[in-house]
Amino acid sequence: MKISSELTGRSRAGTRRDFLWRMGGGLGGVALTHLLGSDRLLASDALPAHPGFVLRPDGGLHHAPRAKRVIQLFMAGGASHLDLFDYKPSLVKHHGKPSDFGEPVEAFQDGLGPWKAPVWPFKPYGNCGKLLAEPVSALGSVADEMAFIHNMVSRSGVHSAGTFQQTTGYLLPGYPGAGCWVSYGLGSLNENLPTFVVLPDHRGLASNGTKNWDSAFLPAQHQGVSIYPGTPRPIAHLYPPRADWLTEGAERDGRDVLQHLNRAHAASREGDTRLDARIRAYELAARMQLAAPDALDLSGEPAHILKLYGLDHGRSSFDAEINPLEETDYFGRKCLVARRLLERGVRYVQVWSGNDNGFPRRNWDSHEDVERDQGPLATGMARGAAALIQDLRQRGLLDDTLVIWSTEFGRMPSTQGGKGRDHNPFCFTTWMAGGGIKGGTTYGPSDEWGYKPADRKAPTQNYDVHATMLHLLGADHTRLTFRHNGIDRRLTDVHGHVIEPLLA
Amino acid sequence: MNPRTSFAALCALVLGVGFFQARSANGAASAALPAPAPRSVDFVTDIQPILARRCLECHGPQKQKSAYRLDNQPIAFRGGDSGHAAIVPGNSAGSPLIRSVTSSDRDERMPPKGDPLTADEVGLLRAWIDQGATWPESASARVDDPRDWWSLQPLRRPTVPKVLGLENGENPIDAFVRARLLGSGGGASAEADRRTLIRRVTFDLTGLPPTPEEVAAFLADKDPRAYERLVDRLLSSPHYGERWARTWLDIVHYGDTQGYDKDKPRLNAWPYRDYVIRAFNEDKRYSRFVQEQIAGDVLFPDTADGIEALGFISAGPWDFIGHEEVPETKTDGRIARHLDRDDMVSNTIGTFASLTVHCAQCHDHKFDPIRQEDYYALQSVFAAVDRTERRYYRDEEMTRARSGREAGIRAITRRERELNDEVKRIGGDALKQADAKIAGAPSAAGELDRLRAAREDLITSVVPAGIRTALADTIAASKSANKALDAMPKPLVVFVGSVHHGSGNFRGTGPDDGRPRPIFVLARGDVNKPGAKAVPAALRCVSEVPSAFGLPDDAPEGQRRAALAAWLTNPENPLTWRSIVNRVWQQRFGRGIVETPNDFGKMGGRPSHRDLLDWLALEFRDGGQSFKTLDRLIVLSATYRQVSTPAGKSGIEDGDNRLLGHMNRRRLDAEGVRDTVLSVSGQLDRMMYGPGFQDFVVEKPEHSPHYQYHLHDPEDPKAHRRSVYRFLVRSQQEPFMSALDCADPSMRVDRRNETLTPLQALAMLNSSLTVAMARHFAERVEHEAGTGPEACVDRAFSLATQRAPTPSERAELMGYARQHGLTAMCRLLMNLNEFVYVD
Repeated sequence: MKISSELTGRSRAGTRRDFLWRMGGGLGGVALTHLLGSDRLLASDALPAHPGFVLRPDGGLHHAPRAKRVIQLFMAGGASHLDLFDYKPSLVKHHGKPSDFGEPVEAFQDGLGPWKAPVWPFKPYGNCGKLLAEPVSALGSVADEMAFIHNMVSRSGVHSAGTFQQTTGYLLPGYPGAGCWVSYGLGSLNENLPTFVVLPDHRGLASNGTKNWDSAFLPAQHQGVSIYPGTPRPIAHLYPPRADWLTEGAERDGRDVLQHLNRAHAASREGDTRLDARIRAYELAARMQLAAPDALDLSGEPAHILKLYGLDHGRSSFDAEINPLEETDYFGRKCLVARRLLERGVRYVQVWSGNDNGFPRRNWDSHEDVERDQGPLATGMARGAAALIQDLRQRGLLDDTLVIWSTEFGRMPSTQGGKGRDHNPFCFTTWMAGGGIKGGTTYGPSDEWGYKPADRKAPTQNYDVHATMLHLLGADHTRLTFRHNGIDRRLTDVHGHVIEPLLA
Repeated sequence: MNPRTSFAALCALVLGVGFFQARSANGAASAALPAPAPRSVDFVTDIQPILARRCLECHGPQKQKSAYRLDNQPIAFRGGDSGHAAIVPGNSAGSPLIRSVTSSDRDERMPPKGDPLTADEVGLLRAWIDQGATWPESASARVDDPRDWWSLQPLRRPTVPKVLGLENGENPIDAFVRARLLGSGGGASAEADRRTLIRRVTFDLTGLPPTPEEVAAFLADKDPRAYERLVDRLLSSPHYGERWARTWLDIVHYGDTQGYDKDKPRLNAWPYRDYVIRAFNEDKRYSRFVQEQIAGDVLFPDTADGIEALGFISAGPWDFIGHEEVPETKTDGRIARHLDRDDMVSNTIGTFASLTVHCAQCHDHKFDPIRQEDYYALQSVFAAVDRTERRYYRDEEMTRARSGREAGIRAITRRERELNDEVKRIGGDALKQADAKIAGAPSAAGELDRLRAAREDLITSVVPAGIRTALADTIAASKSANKALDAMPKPLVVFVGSVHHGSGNFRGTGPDDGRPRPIFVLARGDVNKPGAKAVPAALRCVSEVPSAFGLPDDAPEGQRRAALAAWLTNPENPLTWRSIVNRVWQQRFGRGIVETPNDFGKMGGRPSHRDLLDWLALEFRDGGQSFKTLDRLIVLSATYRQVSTPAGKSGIEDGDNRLLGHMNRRRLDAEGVRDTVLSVSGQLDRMMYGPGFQDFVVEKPEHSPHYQYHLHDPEDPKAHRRSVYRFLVRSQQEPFMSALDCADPSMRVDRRNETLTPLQALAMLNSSLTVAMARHFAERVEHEAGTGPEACVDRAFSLATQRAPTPSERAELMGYARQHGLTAMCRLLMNLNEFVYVD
């Protein structure tokens, strides 16, 4: 295996141990290095997620997959399709004139001002000539890999419900995140790491908090695991808090004692597989203590990679005001960690940009000033996302890694009287790239103003995006079900169509 | 009346709803009935052809308008959606079928098309009914009647099976279970040893481990009734209510924050949690428990229990932004309120009746006999209430006095507003200008005073004295009423489902005197596609209990909830009683007789022991509706007391142990693990009741509070209380509890998941709680057992597992403790499989 040989070639056992103990130690971590033969660490044989699901030899659940893993980039607060991806000449032409939607508009906040031209100029990129705005121009280098959907609609213009709809498929809490469904249907590619990892915006959780990736009624192993790279405890409970009695030896010997006693206990209670499974869970935990820091350690990344992600700025502190450099650092770092997780077999990684819609804005909810907020955020996002796509491509991983860029809704073509835009759940943009996606595609145009889909009868919804995602992963969205409170639940509820024109 | 509605009314008539009775009462539509045919009538030759010719087009194999059909005997007799019999054998004049075919009102008469039935035809029908309405089975169409479902059948007391080896007077539970086992060729297992029993029953009934002293005393107790006395002691422990309350809070999805966006804290939810704990400890009668939670304010007015219990309605999440920032006039505001009521309806019917009524939100239920109209009828029951706060006292008189004063103030405020509007109207533009001047005036006091005086002069000159006096009086009355209210002792506050009177952005039904919002049947569940107006009612699929409330349109909203509570607690409602005893059974065996406690419909599980379920339901219903009595009966049964590891092969295929040939081994739930960790470490604070403790630090509370669990100090003694007193955040669950499958308060949880994951192992090993408690555990052991290593190991082991270690266990643990210290060893003990599994 390419990746495993790369790792073992580095002979990082010592480094790993140092890292482990620097981070606070782990139960039997060192004693377990023998368990962590690199083959095990990077076991690629998928484990069945559920007794009812048996994967095909090609790794698909219902049909041959085009992608094995997913990375979703989520812009919390409502990224402006009009200022970034969906160029509208009419807005330039009519900028400042009173807006006229030709029908009553129910905006989230009241008071729709004049039409507002996109904040930034657009230029064509790639062979496809896709028009992109200045802050996202970094994506121009991968424009031919991307497929845009410009006629997304949401059932809600409220952050909470809108975000839930994009993350879980439902408007209310209590439903599993999309990554949970993928974990449930397809299982793990590497038992030593969580199947579904979330890299939240470190400045705060977006609307709905961790409910966006909770397993809800699905078993807990499918839950998105929050990881905060670069912090003392990047995964909850990965290491114990410091205590003088928690020595390396106590951890090592303790693991053995625990296993002896638990095995004796299980031996006198024959036939209860849960007792054995719990013993195994402790073994896997110890492996995760080794595998996780390794996956999160960026110190071995070569200079050209750090440069690619915009992490070569040499700064350790940033200005107080929101600025592109800082946003590039944050988002790029998460994208790079995401790549490391993906190449180690994590099935689904979700990267968040934007916190809780509070102030000062470190989120995409630009009611007051699109330029001030979305300029730096989009610049950072585009740099990281473009680097990720290029990096995956150069490693041969883009072919079977699906990239999805989402937000809960877009923004209105008019101002709210000032420099901001209100929520637009009636039309917004999502884009995809990578595994099985036809690059250079623009699908589902919006109308003249970017206010609603050009064809109002045929909008695209989250259900369609999710159906397409599952399709590419080798699963039929109508058959990936879990019975809960009387209903065979699906990620796509009772909706969803695979968006054929996007498929390669 | 348009043709469609008139047709609906006609259909309703055949069903013999209250409508029919109302018509016959005033006699307007009753004509003299044709006489019955004076001869013997045969169904096949005389009646069936009439039905086929005139009725079956709409009420036959192709269509079943109003769920009524006349080709199938049981349905033809029982009636359709109304829940009232349509054919009463022996009484044709009292049979709604005859009334509907003879009505003189063209809009009501059946059939709606063509001529009415002839006098001869009616005469034949009448004679057939009067002669006993014999309908041969061979002439009755076979139909899959969705109401022929086990859970909807009336409760009937089954005979307790006679089982060889079980004497008369033995526990009937065992008779039912043994009979089923024997019938399958299996057998029961032996009774578990006493150490296993005390560990099992103590965890089950209190959620805490027995102390080594309690175990020793029980092992030494020679009284043959020792186990019974143990059970009685546990049932009277205050921890019994705490344990049960946690289960109940799972089911009703109780939480201490609003959830959704911003997830603001809900600081006064806990009195409901305390109410539930008290209810179980006081062994409150179940029907009263149900009634208080749905309509306590109406049925038991001004009682503290009757108010606190309404925390049931508001237990689930609330979309703060969708209500506070988006008004009902906008689609998103309507969606938020629709989903809010949906949560109340699903919670009520799921909790008490174990049906998945929410599936009928967009269309008729696909599997169960629940119509879309039924669902919206239930939404209209909750159409006036919102999630809000209510003030009260323990003392009923004071609560009454306060409510009276609050209502008085609302009336005065309204009067004041009306008078002010009147003044504004009379004052016209001149007054508007005066007001604008005041609003824009510089803050210099003198100028402002002058403008105000000018405004007063203007009013004095144009507004009639009567109005001015009335306004002044009202303002004075408002002041004194508010003063009187403020003079009352500080009230208690609880977050409940109630009419919202607040004056903030979010407008409830308070300003409309609590008049319910109109509810419509929504096409495909779309708030912008309202259809017929919904009428508050219960479910029609329960044949034994009338679903119609018969409330006048202007009845106070609380009457709707009271009627639903009455329907649910009707002794003949088979769902209620089956539902609750199944939940109790699940608590004791780890699995219900029906494995899906929230779903007794077609998508749910079937009962493994249907007779036992019914027997328990009736025993509970008619035997005082006491949880403690039922729990006692179950845990005293030989079935409950069996070993959890079967001796050898049972000889039958029952991998899931559905037949209970042995006891089920169970893992402690998240609360059980946490409480046991605190308990064995000697740190558990047993203080009951009151606001929940917070095991997190709140940062940035002003916009969206950040609930930072990792910043919490595990040594904070305030957080060493039982887990049922945790402050439950919806947007972000506590990682340790969540790793151990605690209930998600955003979701109605009828069964906990039981997962075994690496993250769970890491949580057990490395959580700040485990590590901090390991030290306390070791200190306690040293204190209690002295410093001798063997005594310490033995003491620690018996605290953790309620038994002495075997020699080899002792040797291994002593070796470890000697090398790495007692604290490290104590941490290991809390990670044993035996620590978290109960045999």
